[in-house]
Amino acid sequence: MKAKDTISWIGFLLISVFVLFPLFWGIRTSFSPRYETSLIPSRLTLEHYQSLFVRPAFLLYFKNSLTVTLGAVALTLPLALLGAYALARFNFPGKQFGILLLVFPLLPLIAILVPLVSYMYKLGVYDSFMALILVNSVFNIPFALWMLRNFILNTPVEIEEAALLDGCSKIGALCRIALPLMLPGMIAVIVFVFITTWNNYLYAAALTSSMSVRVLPQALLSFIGTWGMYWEGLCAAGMLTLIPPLVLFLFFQKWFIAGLFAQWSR
Amino acid sequence: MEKIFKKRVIITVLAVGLIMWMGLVPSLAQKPVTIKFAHFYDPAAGAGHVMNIEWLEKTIPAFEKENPGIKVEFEWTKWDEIDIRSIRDYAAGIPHDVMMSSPQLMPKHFIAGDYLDLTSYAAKWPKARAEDINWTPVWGKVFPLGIPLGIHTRTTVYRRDLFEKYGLDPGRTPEDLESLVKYAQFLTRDTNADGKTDTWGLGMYFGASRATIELYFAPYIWNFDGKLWDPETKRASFASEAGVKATRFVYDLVNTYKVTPEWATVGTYDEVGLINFLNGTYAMFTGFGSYWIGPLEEKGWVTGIFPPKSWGKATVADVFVAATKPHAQFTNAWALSINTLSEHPDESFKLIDFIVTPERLIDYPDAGLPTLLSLWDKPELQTDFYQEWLKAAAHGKSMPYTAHYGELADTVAACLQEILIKKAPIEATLKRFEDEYNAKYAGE
Amino acid sequence: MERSRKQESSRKGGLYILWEYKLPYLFLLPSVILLIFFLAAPLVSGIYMSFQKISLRGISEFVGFRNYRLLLGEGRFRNNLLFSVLYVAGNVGLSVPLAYAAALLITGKLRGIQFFRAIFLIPFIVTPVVSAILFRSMVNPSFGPITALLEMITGKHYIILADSTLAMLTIIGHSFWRSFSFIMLFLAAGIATIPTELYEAGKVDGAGAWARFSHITFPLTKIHLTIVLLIITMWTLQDAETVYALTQGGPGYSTEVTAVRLFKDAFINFNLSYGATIGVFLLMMSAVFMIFYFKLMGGAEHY
Repeated sequence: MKAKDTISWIGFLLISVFVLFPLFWGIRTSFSPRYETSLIPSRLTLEHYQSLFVRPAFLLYFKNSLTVTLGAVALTLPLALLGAYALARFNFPGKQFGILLLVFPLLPLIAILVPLVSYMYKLGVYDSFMALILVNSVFNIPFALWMLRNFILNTPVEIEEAALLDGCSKIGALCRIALPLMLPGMIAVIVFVFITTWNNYLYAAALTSSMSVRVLPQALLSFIGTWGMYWEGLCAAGMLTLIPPLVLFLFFQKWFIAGLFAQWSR
Repeated sequence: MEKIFKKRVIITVLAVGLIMWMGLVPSLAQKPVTIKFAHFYDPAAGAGHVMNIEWLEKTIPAFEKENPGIKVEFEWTKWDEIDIRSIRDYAAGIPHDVMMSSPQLMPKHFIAGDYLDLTSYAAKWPKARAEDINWTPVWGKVFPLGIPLGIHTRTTVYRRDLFEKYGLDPGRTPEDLESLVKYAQFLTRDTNADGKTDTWGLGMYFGASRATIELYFAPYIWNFDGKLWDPETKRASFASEAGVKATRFVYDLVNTYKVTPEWATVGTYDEVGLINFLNGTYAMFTGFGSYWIGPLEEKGWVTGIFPPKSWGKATVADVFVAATKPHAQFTNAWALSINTLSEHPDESFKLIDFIVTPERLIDYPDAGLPTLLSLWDKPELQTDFYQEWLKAAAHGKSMPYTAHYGELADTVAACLQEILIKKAPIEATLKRFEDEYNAKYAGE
Repeated sequence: MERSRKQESSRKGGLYILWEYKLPYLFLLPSVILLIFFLAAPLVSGIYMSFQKISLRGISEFVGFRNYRLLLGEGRFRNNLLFSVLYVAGNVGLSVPLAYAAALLITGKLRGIQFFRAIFLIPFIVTPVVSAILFRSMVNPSFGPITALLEMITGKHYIILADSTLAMLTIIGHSFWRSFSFIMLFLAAGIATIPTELYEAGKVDGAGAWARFSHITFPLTKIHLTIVLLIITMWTLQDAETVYALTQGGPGYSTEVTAVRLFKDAFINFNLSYGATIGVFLLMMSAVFMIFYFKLMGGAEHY
């Protein structure tokens, strides 16, 4: 038994090193003086972080990312909630097509990006936050809807029925009784949509062109060329980019993981 | 009761109307026209970019002061994305006004239709002024769609101190490709005898960038009397005999003589070229752009060169015209164009007209070299250093006039990388890449 | 509840049934409209665009299978497809073993597992562009720690991204780092459902660790594995951004996977018809992978 534990600990340690090394490297580089080559820098400096904040652009990109991400969450959540409730609690002709929602997230969405961009041209929303919010929401709705559907299926229906008998309308029952019960599911969806939207580069690259709507991943990639490989600044910007999704994930880890599983559990 | 209510409504409407009228009339009378100026200088992209931003920040207010009815707003896009952005935005119906543009992509703009033909505007210039701008052959095809801002030509930069250290006369530089190779071999050194080269004889760059075809392939295929793209058949022709010779030349530098580092295929042009040269990695680096003169001064390797002074001197780093045949040196520069969708083309041209004058362009850092011929007569440009650059500009040549220049550049860069890295057979590989390009884009 | 509602509706008559159906339809309507408009419709017009030649001015003409013929006639494009398969296979091949090991670890009974599970999941949360930048700096020829490690092991200084094989390994390694934790999460969920008695019985029968894995753990998590492989495969297949950030498809075209090619053609060179055609190829590829995995899942059910 003891030997087995030791092996387990070694395993934990090795995998942790594998997982954490790139992040350690990023943090180390962002605090090192320029052109430092040793693994442990001789001295630490904040200059690369400071250099990000003397330029207003980084804060602008941060704000843009936040706008798009919160917008996508705000659009996805109510729509997915309504749809999920319909799929979980009602019987109606055509319900069996709901299973399509599981197939949508498996499509390589990059494949439809070209026609999608011309749609956005025609709608007049190309190069706007609206385009990014719309596309990120649409691509997240199937996943979010199915995830919430399973959450609702797992909450006892009797409570809602009791509310109905008390004379609540169906919508009233949904709002007053079911919503609080679905809170963990909703948090899982919020965290999921937040992370996928925050991390997305491709839609932003395809759908926007001005600096005023540029989001962080896009900004980071465009730094690669223009900074002539200013690795330290690039790493500092990257580390700051990671903070919001990591914090959200670490706070709501339990619900987020439960939500992911609810997605595929039925 | 109702009457009083009606009265209040009428008074409110009148008051609101009055306020709106008071606000509207003056603004209609002298509402400034706002034009957008799309450039690619990023304040965080290092000293070179900052210098250009500083220049913009003093030039634009001067323009606004002279033209009180016009306001200028900046737009920013990365340098290698600005042309495609204009084309994409044009398809989406998003207007721009003045845009910085690349001469190499003018054919693409011509077909896409996103830039205005400026002929009618430029026709109003006096003849002398027009000739002052349009003096080098490379501008011929650019002109209707853009007004050049400077001359970007390339030379070979070298270290006078290293020449002296190894017993070479820094005043004598290689004059043909053969002696270039000899110099490079002689200067390639392993100074600490650890078996690794630490001074490379001749730096070059073969990354996934337009710089590869422009600076490290075109000059050599032109040197061997070949063409990248045949304007008559409208087909790529880089696999011709001259193309094979050119490829073998760079292949040998990297793989046979080992005077050019093999990591030249990775990273960005700035990183491999400028930064490594300033770090002392090379004895010579070819394809050194005139937009990099400033950093040499900053490093202290030249004095009084940037901004140019009549006593300017190249002390540690100096340049010579790359050792190819005459008229084999790629030359271009940024140009200023006006977007077709611009609502204020006249005001936009006013801005271009204001910028493209000797007074404005004299200290425009990214100009590289003056675009106006008259500026070359100034005493501060009579130094040996600048006369060498003028020689290179006079040897200038532009990229082929094809709408698929971007694809051609990508194809050649990928082909060179494949040959240099995988040591793929030169002739067959060139042919394969050329055929693939022609299958899709021949005739366009 | 369904029964009770049916009783209620039969008491109230036909109009009530219509009302009953109206509500779920109304609830689903906004999502369905968005999905049809922004997902289904572009899918159809993407296929339509692949049969056209669209000029820079936006004028399109019908060209039949020309785009397909030209692309398939290209060695470069056939390589794009092949590299996509290699990229997926390499990623899956590396991720699954480590994911199993990690899943077994985090479903064990050691203290502090919660903490390690959180750490193991981090790569899945990290912004792909950021991790690509980190990996790119780690393989930098002058200061990258991976370059240094490789030099220590082999005694030779490699310029990793200038070597076709090493560059391919870099993009696979990066994807592996990102994917394994997500796979682990699913496998752990599967392992957690296996009753401990099975393992006890296995031990009594004298089965070693490997036998227990291959006879109990693996078969009973095969469904989880299939589902997660499906997700990871689709993610890897459509990943253009991290490969582009790491290698731009180079050196040469040696890491140019299909998604990167699409990105370059459509959004850098603005060749919309080729972009749309490559998109159709990607759809076909994912269909092939899906069928392959569903076959595998069928096999799992027969087990």
